[in-house]
Amino acid sequence: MITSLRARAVRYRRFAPLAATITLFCLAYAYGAVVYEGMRDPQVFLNLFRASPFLLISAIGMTFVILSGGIDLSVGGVVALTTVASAALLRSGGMDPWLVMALMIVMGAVFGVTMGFFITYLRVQPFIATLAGMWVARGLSFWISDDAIPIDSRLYTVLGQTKILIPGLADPVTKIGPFISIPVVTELVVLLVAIFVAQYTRFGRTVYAIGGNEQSARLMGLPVNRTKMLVYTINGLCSALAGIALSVDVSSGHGLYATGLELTAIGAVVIGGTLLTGGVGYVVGTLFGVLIIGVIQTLIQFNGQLSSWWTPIVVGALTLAFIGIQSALAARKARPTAGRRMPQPARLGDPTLQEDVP
Amino acid sequence: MSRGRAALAVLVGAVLAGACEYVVVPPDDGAAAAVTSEGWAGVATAIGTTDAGDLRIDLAIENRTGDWSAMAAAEAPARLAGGDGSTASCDVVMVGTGGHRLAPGFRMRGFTGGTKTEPVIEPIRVECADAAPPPAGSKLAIDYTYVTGEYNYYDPEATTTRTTMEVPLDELLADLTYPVAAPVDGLIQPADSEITALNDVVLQMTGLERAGTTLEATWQTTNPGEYPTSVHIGEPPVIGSDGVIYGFYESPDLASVPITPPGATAEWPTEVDIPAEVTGLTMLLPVESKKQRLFVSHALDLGGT
Repeated sequence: MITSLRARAVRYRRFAPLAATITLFCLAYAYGAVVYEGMRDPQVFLNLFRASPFLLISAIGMTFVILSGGIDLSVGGVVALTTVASAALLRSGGMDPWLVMALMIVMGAVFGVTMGFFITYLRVQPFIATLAGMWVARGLSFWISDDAIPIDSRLYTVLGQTKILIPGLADPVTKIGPFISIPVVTELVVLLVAIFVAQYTRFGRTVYAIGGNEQSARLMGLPVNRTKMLVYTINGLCSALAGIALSVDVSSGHGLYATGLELTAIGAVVIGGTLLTGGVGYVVGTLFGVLIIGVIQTLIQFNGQLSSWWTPIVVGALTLAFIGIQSALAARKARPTAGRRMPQPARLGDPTLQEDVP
Repeated sequence: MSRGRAALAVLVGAVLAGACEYVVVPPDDGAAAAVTSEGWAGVATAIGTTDAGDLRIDLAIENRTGDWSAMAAAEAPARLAGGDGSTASCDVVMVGTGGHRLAPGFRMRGFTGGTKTEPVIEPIRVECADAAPPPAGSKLAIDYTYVTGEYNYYDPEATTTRTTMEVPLDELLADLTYPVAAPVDGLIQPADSEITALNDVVLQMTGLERAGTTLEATWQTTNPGEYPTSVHIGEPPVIGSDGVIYGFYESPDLASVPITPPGATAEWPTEVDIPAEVTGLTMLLPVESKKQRLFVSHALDLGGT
């Protein structure tokens, strides 16, 4: 019995950080629902998804990067650049908004390919390469415009303000009731695609393998370079998509938008249970990491007395806690290989060995 | 196509058709908001001389844009074209709304200039140095710009139009009525109207007191939402039956306002200086609405106060 439980615990130990994240989210939301009546409103729960689709989309891209053992600090810069470039093209060029969105996604992908090239083939540390990328993207944003550029596009208005009522909760006749928005649908589609790619494709398994041990992955004959290039390309693409979601949300572009977004995204990924060292984690954990950040903000808003700066304080503390737990788990995992005693022949009649005998 | 696939297609179509009623697309405000604009019109109300002996032409200007609008003369001299073919340049061009947006159909003849600490009432006028009184058939040409509609802090000049106002000087209209030149149905609201502002917060003037030259209004916001919100209204100016806008202009997001907690109310006062003898007051109220730092104007009837 104990053996069985222990075996099961060992088998599912990899889910422990994810389970901790989901439990933490449920507890935080349950606390809010008990203390604040307003938090029992379904719309408040849906608002967790509506509030920051750009954060979830960029955090999903970041999850792939971190799973592969890398890091990307250019996310916030690319998001800001996307908003400014979109707004500028829509205003001065009068370009078709669909074309602008397509161009922005291509731009994000090209940015990601460039980062990936420097990291993969020129062996530049991801931290340094993407830090430079962040400066370039931010600089380009302010080169395009020092000030905010408003977006006056019917398509952006429709994408940002269309309400999708929730069947069963909302009244389709009066058009009143809980709803989500098109960016929420987009982020959920991106999430599902990312889960599928990470868990059910050869590319996803290669990402995990590279994050676990890049050298081993090479020795196994896995396409390490191509996969790393793809990972940064996907992240650039996700950053551009996040930028589009942000510009749709705020109907403008500015170089100061998304300041520090990359760090919030990393925080969400880590809180979601992904190891910063790579190789371990789940995309769905990132969803709950983002939701935890959202629920913290919601609790602070409902409280009404606390400064909004408590959000980064709590997020920082949680990130530290999760990194601490991860390090402890990693150390525990590493211990048997470092200090394991040589196996001894079993002695008959030794009661301490009985439970280990299958 | 097999029967199964056809059934599936019908089922998907039915689901999508049913789902359409759950999708609420925002109205297209832009298409409905197209209004024919005649810009601003000006008339001369008096012609005289300044203390320095220069020609001075007093004007009244009228908002004929069909929307709320602010106007200002361009930084260029006005041109006086005499009926006899003579021309003169007028360097002092004190023509504008002082930054404030004036309601459609309203007319004015002065605004509050100077500085915030030392405001000065500026009559709308043009001064032409060394110019003789204009002969019959003379016209004054003033280049100006105007903006219309809502005030968007992030794009204040989005609706800017540059044009020229021509003022015939043959007829002086000294006995005009202010501030309404052409009434617009439903434009002027009662002072205690409930105005829906940003995040569905309800704004209402709950008190109005006039003591000496100070007019103090008390504002109350009621927040039906679940998040704390603040609604900016600046220091709303007032136009009287003398056609002067009282209140120094600054961007309405600058004046601090209290945060309204969810499900609660907040109150704060605003002040404006008006000479005690001025009556027939209308408040030109910018209210932060729809989204942050976007201001929709309202005209409130303060009566004789």
